[in-house]
Amino acid sequence: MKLRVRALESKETLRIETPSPCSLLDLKNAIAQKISSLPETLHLSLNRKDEIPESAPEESLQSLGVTSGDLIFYTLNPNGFSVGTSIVTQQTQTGENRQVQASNKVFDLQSEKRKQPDDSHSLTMALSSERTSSAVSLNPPQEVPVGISDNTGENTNELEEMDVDEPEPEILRNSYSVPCFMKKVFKEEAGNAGSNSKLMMIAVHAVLLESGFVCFDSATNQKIAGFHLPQGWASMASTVCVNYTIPDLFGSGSEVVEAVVLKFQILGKFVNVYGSLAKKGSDIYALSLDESLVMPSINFVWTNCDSIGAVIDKDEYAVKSTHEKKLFEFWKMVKDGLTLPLLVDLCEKTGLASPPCFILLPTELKIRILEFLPGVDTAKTGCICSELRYLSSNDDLWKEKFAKEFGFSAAEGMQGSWKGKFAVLYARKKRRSMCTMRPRIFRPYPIGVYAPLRDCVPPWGLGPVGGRSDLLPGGVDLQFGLAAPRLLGRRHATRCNLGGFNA
Amino acid sequence: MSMISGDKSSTEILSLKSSDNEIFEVKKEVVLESITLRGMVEEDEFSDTLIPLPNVEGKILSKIIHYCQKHTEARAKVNGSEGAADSKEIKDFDSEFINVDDKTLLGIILAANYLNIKDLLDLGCQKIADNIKEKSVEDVRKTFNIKNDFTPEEEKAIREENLWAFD
Repeated sequence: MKLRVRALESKETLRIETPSPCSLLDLKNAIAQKISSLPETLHLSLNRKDEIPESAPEESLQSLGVTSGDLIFYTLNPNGFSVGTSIVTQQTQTGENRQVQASNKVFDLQSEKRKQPDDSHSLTMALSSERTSSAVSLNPPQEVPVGISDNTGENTNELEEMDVDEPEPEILRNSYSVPCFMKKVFKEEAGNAGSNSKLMMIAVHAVLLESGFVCFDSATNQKIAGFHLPQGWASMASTVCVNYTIPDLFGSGSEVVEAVVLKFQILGKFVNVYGSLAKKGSDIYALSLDESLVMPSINFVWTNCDSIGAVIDKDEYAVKSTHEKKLFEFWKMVKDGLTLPLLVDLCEKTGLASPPCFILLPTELKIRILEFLPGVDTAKTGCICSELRYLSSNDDLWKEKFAKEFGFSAAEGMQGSWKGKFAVLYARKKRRSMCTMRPRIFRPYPIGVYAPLRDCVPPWGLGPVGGRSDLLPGGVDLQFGLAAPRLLGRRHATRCNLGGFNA
Repeated sequence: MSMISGDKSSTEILSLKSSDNEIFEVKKEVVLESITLRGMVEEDEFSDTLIPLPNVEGKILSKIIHYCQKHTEARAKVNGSEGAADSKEIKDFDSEFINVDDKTLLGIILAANYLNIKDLLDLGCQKIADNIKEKSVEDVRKTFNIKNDFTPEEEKAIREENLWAFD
């Protein structure tokens, strides 16, 4: 299992390879070797706040929730990990079929009430020694569904007052917002690219495929399967021609009715792309892409998009954000400048129905519309199609929404993407409102005890047959006293209609 | 298209030509609602010729002109103060105005974007957002004719990722 370990103070990161299964002790030994220290002096944490306790040195890392690719913090300072107010959320891998693992995270709802920042060192030191000994810091790994994990409302037998100290819903914290097609295409083709310019071509190819184009070989008129480019493209010299069309335009006799041609021209660090319909006389759309501006971001996001981020600090987040923005600009440029106009031209020329109007809107307008949507609906649009998923995961967009809904100060101590932060607070708000809607006092009657009302007939019929010594005259139960008649009157008290189950 | 002496800016008439060759004669002050057109006009290039708008079709252009006229009049009533857009009359007009079918709505937004008419653009985008709000994912797809290009596994993963947003 490959892990990254980072010194808490110096932020220096080391890569460690551990056997699998591996215990906490093995890991400490491995780290100790690398930094020429003693394993006993090492303190580890996954989130820089809670230390992985010594109580289970033989326990395997997997059972502590650590998986390959994770980032673990270490320090030689026994009190290096302060007790924080952060809401720690899970690590998850999007787009893959991976079970969500609730690893050793603590959802500390009470801590948010602490207004004091972590700066008061003496306080945190005192608290941290308390914390590390408590068993609360480590939960055994469990599968917790992403989202609200409690069973409120469904379980009408347990109408206790909701326990607000329940763990928070596990919510995606890291969002490497990469167009999903780009990931797929890169996986298949990146090996063939020898240079940055070729990688740029693959990236442009990915945007075209995402918009519904299919690549085909002009010599054979055969559709090219998967996400590949035509054979031998990588060995072509400075100009590469690639043909695309849409599935509807593959004729019955294996001829292609109409196509779009992309000419890639590599001139130094620039890749010029010229797109037009194959048949002469149509408009040419040109793009000039500067490798040096775009490639660093494509490379960064591509190499990091699969890693399960543990807690990332502000600097890492800023770097990631910058690269994501550049990648987005690139995507927008190719989409609006090349793909959509070509798609429109192709459909016009061949008499096909033009792509849906909404999709034809320039990217800026789509984002504008998302700006007008409340957070909840923005998240829903992410489920509509891959383009909207990409657009709605824009972190700046979520920053605005967060500020509007909760105010920036509410984000204090929280980490991760703005969408993740929004989701956490939204879920919390929703649970609180569900909490206050519940009847304040409701205790199910123990079997056999009841208190018939004076004025109305209980659903199960009139009073007891025979005597009961624990009932007062009139049938009022000694135990429940006056509360009982009131409750019995509310026959539908258990049906707390929260109005939210019609999704 | 006549140039009347005197108060030039309020009575000067300009001609706008849509993509389908419809010509609209519009007062200059109304035309100036569009930042794009304002740029063209103030450079004096088109002061006595047609302004071609190849990106906007006649049906949409006539609606936009109607919007701009209404807003210009409202502003004149309050003597150009900022409060014009907030008057009840204008608000009622706006909600009536934007209550159109999706195709027209998208056409208006595209044109407002091209012509750079901020208030109209905001109005249009807000309306689309309102149309999306309260709708289920599948309904939005149907309304806007958007294809679901997720694989079943991707769709499941995305739903889980956004479960907090669903009731």
